[in-house]
Amino acid sequence: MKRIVSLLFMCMLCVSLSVPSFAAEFTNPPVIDDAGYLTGSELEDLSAKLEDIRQTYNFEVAIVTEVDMTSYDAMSSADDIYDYNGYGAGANDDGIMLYICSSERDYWITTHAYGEEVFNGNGIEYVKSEIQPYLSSDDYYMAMDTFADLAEELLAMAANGEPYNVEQTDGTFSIVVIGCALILPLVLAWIMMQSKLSKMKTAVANDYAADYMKPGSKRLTMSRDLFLYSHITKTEKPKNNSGSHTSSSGRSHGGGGGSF
Amino acid sequence: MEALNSYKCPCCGAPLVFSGNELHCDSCDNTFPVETMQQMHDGMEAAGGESKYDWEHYEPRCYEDTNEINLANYSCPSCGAEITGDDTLGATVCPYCGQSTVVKGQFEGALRPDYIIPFKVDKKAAMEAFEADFKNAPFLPDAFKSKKKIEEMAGVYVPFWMFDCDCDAAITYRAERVTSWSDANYNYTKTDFYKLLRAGSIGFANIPVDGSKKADDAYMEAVEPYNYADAVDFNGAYLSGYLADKYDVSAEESIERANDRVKNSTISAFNDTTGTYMAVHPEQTRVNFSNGKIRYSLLPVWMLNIRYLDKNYQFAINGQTGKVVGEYPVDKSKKWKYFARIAAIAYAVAIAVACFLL
Repeated sequence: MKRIVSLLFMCMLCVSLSVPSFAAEFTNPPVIDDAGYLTGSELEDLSAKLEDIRQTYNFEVAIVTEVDMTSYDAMSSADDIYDYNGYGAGANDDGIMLYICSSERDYWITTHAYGEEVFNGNGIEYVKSEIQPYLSSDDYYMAMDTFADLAEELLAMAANGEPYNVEQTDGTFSIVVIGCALILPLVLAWIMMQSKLSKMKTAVANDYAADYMKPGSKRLTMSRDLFLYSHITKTEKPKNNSGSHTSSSGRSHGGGGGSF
Repeated sequence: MEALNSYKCPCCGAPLVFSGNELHCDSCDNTFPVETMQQMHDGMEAAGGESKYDWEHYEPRCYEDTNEINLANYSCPSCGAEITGDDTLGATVCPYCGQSTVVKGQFEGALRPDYIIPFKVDKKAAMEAFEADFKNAPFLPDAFKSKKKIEEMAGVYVPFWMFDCDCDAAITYRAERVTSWSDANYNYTKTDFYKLLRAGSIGFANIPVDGSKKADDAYMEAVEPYNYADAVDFNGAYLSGYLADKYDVSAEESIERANDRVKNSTISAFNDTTGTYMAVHPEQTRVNFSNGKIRYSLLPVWMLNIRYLDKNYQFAINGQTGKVVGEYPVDKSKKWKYFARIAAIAYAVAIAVACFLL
């Protein structure tokens, strides 16, 4: 009997050692399409693509669609699905998830842990700008496929040590920086040269006579400050670009979304 | 309700209406205490109207000839300036045009000022002061530093009118104080508007105004101040070895400049009493002068003309304090080299910053 137990233990050990140690395991399938947007082959292709990204970067990349919202809005629904259904990779549950609600025509991209760094505010805006047109034209497969491609693109950038930042790709920002770099040195040099030139001409008229004021002669006989009226202006505070917030589970999430 | 035409809203200018215990503006919905509006009205009335200037007319004093010194007047053959000196002065350089001139002994009258401040800075000290000054002047052409030219410095007693006066001033200001705060969704900025009323008096003594047309007013004002503790009654002996110029701008002609300087300084002095407001704008100003007195004085100035590339550069050195003023020629090559050097450094920094950002 002992021999049989030892043999079984050895077999189990051999099997466990033969499984690659780097393969990450995820609780949920990469795509859950309760809204029924995808055909069978589309679901299969998209799942394979996302699974590949998941394994490559050991990072959760998931898509969930549903007809009715789990919570009261798209952001809360996406956060709750992510937090209470075991989404995420590694000890910190790193990941990103695209959530789409067909009845409300709302969507939300939620990020968590390392996902908030990779998909920062500028990155989320970039992804949104690319998938929104497909969602608006009801081309859901292309929206999801684009989401998968962009997720991989931004993960690759982060893996190279340079997470996506709008300054790296925004043409306007580049033009402003280059323009300032070209003009400001000339302006600075001009101001400093004019400052030096002012020392070349010291014969300047003096419109004041403060040097000739009699010491102690200044007397103030009336000094009144009369309040007249007030004017109050209020301006709305700029919204947090990163979309960072706390979900119902108490965990921090980033992300962004909208209606289509 | 009764409309009070004499009180207008300081915010929008609409007539204020007495309502309850306050004055109310139907146009902008502001309310103002009656006492505040009364005080503002009184203050603005005090500051309104024309400023008054009360200078006594200058009467030249008559002196008997004491034969203490023989004065010689002559005209510069180059620029026509009238220069007065003692009869020991045989040759000199015209301080206004730099022309070497020989006195031929033509006498055309004498000047007798009330006071004179004798030279305290001698020629050597004046030259040292000038050399120290031009060493600090950037972009100065190397050829300009020729010492031979600097030695042609001439000491001149320049005629000045001295003004004493007391001033009563009433000034109103519009002032603003800004406070800011925030809540969860909005940033708030509150601007409080005030009317400031200030009145008081101030005295000035010995404000000099250049009495010579030939001496540039800007140079003579820039070379100030003078310390009148050193002023003494005029004695012709002080002119010995120096040049002196008779005034050719009358006291009456100089009053306007004295008024401007006194008024500017009075307003500036009262500006210091407006406290810590974010912005203060003078609105109405009235400055009345009293006890105005005018005296005639000679003040010591070292004049230096240096000709460089067919252009005359004039400098003045205060003969009492050694202060140097003037206009130096600019070496364009040095100027643009400096510009290029600063621009190169700035470009290096800018490129580094741009690379970091992009």
